[in-house]
Amino acid sequence: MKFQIRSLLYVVLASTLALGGCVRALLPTSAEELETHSYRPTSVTVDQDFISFYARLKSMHEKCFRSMPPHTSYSTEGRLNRDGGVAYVTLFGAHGTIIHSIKIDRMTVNESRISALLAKNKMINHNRSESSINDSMLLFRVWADGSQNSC
Amino acid sequence: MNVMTRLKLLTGLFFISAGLSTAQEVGRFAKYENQLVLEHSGEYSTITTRPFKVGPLSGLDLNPLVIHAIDGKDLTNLGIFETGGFRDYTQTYLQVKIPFGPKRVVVRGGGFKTLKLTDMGIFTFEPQKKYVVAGVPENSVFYLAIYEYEEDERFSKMDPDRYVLTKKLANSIQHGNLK
Repeated sequence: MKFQIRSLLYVVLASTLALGGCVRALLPTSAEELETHSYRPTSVTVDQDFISFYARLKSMHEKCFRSMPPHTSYSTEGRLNRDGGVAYVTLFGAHGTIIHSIKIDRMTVNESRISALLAKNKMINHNRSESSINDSMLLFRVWADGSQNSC
Repeated sequence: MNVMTRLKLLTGLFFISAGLSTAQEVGRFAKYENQLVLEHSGEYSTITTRPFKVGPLSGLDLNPLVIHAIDGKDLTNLGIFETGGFRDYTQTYLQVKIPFGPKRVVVRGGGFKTLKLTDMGIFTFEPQKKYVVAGVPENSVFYLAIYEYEEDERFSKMDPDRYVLTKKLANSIQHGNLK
């Protein structure tokens, strides 16, 4: 009986590690990997200051991708460099994988540019359509400019 | 178990499960923030701690920083006959009012599962000033320091980006120097 329980524990542990390894093998896990394995929607320039834009985009990410079902392992990280005029919002998925990273640059006091990197499968060559990629960008934009407050 | 005992048990369970209303919660926050200035009529300053990240927190996140004690007096978030005080996650951004003058500040949190206490030393509070304790990594070591700050209202109170550190007021202290 003791042997069976121990074997079961080993099986559970091994399958968890294998699953984590598979997911990490499929999706980017670092900023460098995301640079090489990503879709790049067309950058958009908006008439807003970059900190307000970043604040809304981050709070919508917190609201829509917080650690509860169905996104139990999702987490958001924000990095704001007020002096450098640049901010990043990165969404992490299961096992430390990156789902997307959004960069907001200050162009002028009331103008900012938003660009995004959307994770691409590293092993399977499946290309998303250009319209679906740009739809993601449109969603980020309406979240950030305050015209849509729902997920 | 007779009927009366069952009734009492059910009533108790009802009150426990009902939780705190928003008004009660706000009252508790105010009580927590004012506990050191109840018998003090002069001016005061406030101190808070900068959250590490927007919640809810998972088991893999650092415990939030909170003000643990001022001049040897432990801060409490419970009144008499109250149970189930609010969590450190809420407490982290509340602004504790401190009578001005030199006080020893002890901060709790910043560890994973362990209780980490950091003695920030004696710090002189000036009236009507706002201070924040923030964590800063320096050369792979985690330090805490007290800063003056401005609030950026565009971010929520639980967001670290809300606290714009303007002036460092004391030397950095290595985190967890008490325990």
